Amino acid sequence: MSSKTETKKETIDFYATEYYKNRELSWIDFNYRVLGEAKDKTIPLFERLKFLSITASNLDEFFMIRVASLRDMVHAGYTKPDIAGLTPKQQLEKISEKTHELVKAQYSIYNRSFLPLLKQNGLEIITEFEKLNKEQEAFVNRYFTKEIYPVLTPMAVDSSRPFPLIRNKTLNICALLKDKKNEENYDFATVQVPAVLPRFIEVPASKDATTSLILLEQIIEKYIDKLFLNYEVVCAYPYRIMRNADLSIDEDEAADLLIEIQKQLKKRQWGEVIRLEVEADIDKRLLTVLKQELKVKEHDIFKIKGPLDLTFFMKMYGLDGYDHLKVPKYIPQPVPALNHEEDIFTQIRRGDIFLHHPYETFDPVVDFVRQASKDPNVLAIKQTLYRVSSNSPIIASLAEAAENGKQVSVLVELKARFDEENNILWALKLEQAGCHVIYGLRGLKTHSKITLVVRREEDGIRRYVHLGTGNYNDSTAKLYTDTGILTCSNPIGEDATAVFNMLSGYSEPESWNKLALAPYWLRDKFYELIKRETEHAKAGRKAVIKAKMNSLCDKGIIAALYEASHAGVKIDLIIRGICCLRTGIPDVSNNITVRSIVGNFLEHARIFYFYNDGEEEIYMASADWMPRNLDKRVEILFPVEDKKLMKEALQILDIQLADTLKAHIMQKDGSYAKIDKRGKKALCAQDYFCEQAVKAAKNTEKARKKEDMKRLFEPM
Amino acid sequence: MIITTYAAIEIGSTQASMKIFEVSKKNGIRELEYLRCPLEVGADTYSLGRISHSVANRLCNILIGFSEKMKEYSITDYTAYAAGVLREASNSLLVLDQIKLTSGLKVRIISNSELRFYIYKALALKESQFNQIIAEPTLILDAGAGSIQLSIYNKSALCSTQNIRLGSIRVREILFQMKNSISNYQQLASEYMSNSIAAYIKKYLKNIKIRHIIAIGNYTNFTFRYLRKLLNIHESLVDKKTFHAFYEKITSQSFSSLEKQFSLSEDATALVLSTAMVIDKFLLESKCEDILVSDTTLCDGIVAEYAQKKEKITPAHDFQADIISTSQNIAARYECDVKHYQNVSYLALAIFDQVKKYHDLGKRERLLLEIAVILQDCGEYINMTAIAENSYHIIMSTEIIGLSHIERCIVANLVRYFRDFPQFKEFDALFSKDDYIKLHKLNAILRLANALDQSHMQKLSRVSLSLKDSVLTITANTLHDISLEKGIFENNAVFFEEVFGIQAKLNQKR
Repeated sequence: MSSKTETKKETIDFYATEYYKNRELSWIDFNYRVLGEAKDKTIPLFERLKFLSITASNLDEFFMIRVASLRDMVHAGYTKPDIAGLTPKQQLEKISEKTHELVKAQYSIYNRSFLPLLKQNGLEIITEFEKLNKEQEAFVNRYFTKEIYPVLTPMAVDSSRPFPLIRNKTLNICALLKDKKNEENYDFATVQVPAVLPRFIEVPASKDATTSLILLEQIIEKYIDKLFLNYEVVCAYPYRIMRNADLSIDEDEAADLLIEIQKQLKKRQWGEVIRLEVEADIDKRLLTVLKQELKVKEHDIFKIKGPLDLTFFMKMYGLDGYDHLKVPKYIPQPVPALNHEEDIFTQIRRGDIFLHHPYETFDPVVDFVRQASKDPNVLAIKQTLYRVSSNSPIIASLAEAAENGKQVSVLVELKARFDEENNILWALKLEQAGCHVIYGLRGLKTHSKITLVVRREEDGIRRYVHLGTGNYNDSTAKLYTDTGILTCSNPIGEDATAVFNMLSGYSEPESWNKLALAPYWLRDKFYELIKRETEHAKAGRKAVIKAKMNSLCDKGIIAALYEASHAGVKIDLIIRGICCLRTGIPDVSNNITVRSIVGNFLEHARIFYFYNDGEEEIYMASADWMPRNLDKRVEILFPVEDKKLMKEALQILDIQLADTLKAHIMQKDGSYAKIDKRGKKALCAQDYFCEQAVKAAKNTEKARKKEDMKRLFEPM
Repeated sequence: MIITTYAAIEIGSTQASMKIFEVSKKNGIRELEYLRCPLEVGADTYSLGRISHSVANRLCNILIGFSEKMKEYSITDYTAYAAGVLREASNSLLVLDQIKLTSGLKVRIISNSELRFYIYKALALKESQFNQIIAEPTLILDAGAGSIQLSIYNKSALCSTQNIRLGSIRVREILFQMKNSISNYQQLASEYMSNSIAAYIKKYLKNIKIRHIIAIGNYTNFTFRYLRKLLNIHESLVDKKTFHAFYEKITSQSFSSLEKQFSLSEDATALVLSTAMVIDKFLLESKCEDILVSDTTLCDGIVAEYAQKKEKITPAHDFQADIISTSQNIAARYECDVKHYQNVSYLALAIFDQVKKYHDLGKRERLLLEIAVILQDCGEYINMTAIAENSYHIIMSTEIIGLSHIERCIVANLVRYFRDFPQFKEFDALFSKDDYIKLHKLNAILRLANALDQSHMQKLSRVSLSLKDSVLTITANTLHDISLEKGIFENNAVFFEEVFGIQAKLNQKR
């Protein structure tokens, strides 16, 4: 039997390109799944708006980074095929085709479902300024004169005035002008829709509506002739461009990383135009000018049937009075293992603490840093920061700690995509407060999420560590599902110390106790774990892998999983976004299932489970199974060792694997489909965790009250 | 419970490192942090003879980082040592000053023999098998970047220690300078080292059958970590065959493919390679069975010494005895009269103890006196005309484990003067006034004790001493005629009285 599999194994090339899916196309599939939520009639309308908005902002980012990067490759004459055997050029062709379809689908939902549904619910979006009634027109007129007109900068193009710089991602209106004195010539003009003003403006409600809104660009279009007084405006249409925004910093040349990034920020707006969005019925003459001046190819033009840039729906979600069209706001629950009476260090000493956000509140993490900043026994605090909220209580605590004389070291990742400006700002703020700010290792983004508190206690130095899968961002912690642990385990404390020493430029430790770090050790660790499971299966033992992450597109890992599946390892994957692995290939991946959960919260935790012949192991990490996470970033994989905590972590995987409502299962052809619910219990994992957290919090509350009652003095 | 947080810093040839420890009576020594910063100071020292400006600057920056780190634990108590790499650099004093000014850290240059002694102390503390292993003949092989230190333990006592200047950086620098193609690096290095190693083995391992090797050092550790990974071995002891198979495996590959496998730079790969080569040669030549690798570093030694001094720990092995036994072995090599020095040692220490009130010297000085007694006649090996001078030179060029350079100078000078005693200014800058006085006092005791066995016949094998009203009376319980001893004794008693203000008398009780 074994010899048969051996020979078979030799004939299977687990790296064959036909076993893999292109990551960009897989990403577009993911955006389709999000769009699926927007289509889902069982979901409250305003939530659906939000999903549509997400697909729009996702697509923007996709163009700015992925498409831009592929464009760069094509320009550079790079023809190396990807994991699925496609050259950059082929990928761009397929992407263009699929994104055009996606956009069509977006606007079909907008026009066919949302506009009528919103109207049914008393919310009217005035799509054309011609449809304004008298009262509304008067309002809009005032608004234009008072608010909009002063901030507009119209720019005409003629022989003496060159085509102006159009900023990335901004919404603009172009107009075709005719000189009132000279009948023959047409001129081109453009004006940016000001980003400082709200995208939609509430106007006096129409007769059959409770709220009426008009989009800012509609108002500007209506009064555009006021901007070009000596001309006759023939027509005006909105347009929007997307430029190459991928930062590539040559670190060998940059003497000072910080300065270089600031320089790049200014440069970013000059990038190549990779997408032009225009209204579908734009005047041909205008489009010709745009195409020519912006150097856009036909297939990079998106003709849109509706308003450009649908991200404004995210803002619209915040409109008051529509709570009945939203999912009731969930309040993160207190962590049962923690109380408010004792300091957090005492509680951690009692045993490791498991955190599951946003079902459970992020407060313990904030408290951990806050209490450390004030605790007289705390000597040092160290933390890695990737993306933080704008008014972060963590930053405030770190600054306070430094002011309290503690040694505070903060690793600030300046290259966190799109957050550079923000990060530079508060890095300087921390430095002013006396923190030791470090910027990480050359060429490697620090993506790990770790906090170390060094405390002098009666029996010596003790180290407290928080390790997590999500950023230290109290705002996103309400929306992203993440996990973490608080521990004072000595081996982990030693490793944590070594992590920060390494990030400060000291040599790596000779060996690690518990943590596995990217870029040097993590990949091998995963290979080892997968391989061990493969060996168990080969020996006829039960072998199981369950893993949850955001994306899976690493060829080496996928090949290892194929090999494991081939050997008989049962592999269940929960992958929210990109997945280049294909399921159901005979002899290669028929033991693998892949599901994607798209829900109200953004799935973000990374959890890895290995059955290991009954000696189960479970890990959590900041890393996905992506080459960039395994090779180009500092990431941490940490074990969950406490039996109780292991159970909690495993439960997350098992409940998600039992989800029948929000899970999309990857099919043999690579597409995703929702589960056929017939005969199955309806289970939404995210709702389940919400309910569980509420229940657990109530139970602890009750138990505590009971304890308090016992303490009452009873009169005789 | 009093817990001290303490930092130990080592500036070595290829890296600067710091360990932070917690030291307490209850928990002993606990390592909190280990910081390492690669910096090839050695490449400068061993090829230029001095430390270049840029390396010195980088060194200062590293030490600034260390002193920042010490603040994290509010550490005030620390020891910083620089080893051979600074000792051999011509501008070491300036570099030390620069370090002091920039980082505030005071770094001391440590002698090789002290360094090894500290490391062995730590070795005994850290390795649970240490005492069991050294019960059988054991070679401790410390393959450093500047030199290789070879020490032999027999029957749990240290018998000899030798330093061969064949350190991995030194070898690499010489071979790289020769601009030979790197492809035959292995062969060149092997040839280059063979001779010295063979000479050592012939001289020192001739009469001893080594059973075990304990290996220490940075690159040794790397080598074994790699071996363990490659061969999937977890035991702490590795047998000779396994190591040789591993060595064959790595040396059969090209240099560049090794670089890749180790994921090390070309420079570091060369160091690993020469370290592996040394280990392999010793394993093959010494007929030993297995090898234990320890990650003990000087930092561990520094804290072991500190903790012992502060009486936070009790030593796992009697290292004082090691110092004496190595001295005895040196004496044996120069065919010294064992009975004579044993007798003089007995007498000298008896006098030392009796007049303690008058000299106020400690245990350490008592040890130096004992060593001086053991080695005082080794000069006879050269010729009989200038024995004291010869002995002085032999001691000055012999490593005595556990002694600092200044202590070795004291021992050498103790045996050098039997008639006059030079004035302070004649010792240049070598000794402080305190050292000079110490030397003076010990010399007076040594002379007096020597006089008591002038005939080398151990006539005074049983004496009793008494000290009363500034008179030291030595009563000899012997039937021998001690007229010769008496005569010489009286001559030396004058010097003794000059030094201590005590009159020394020799009585005979028949």
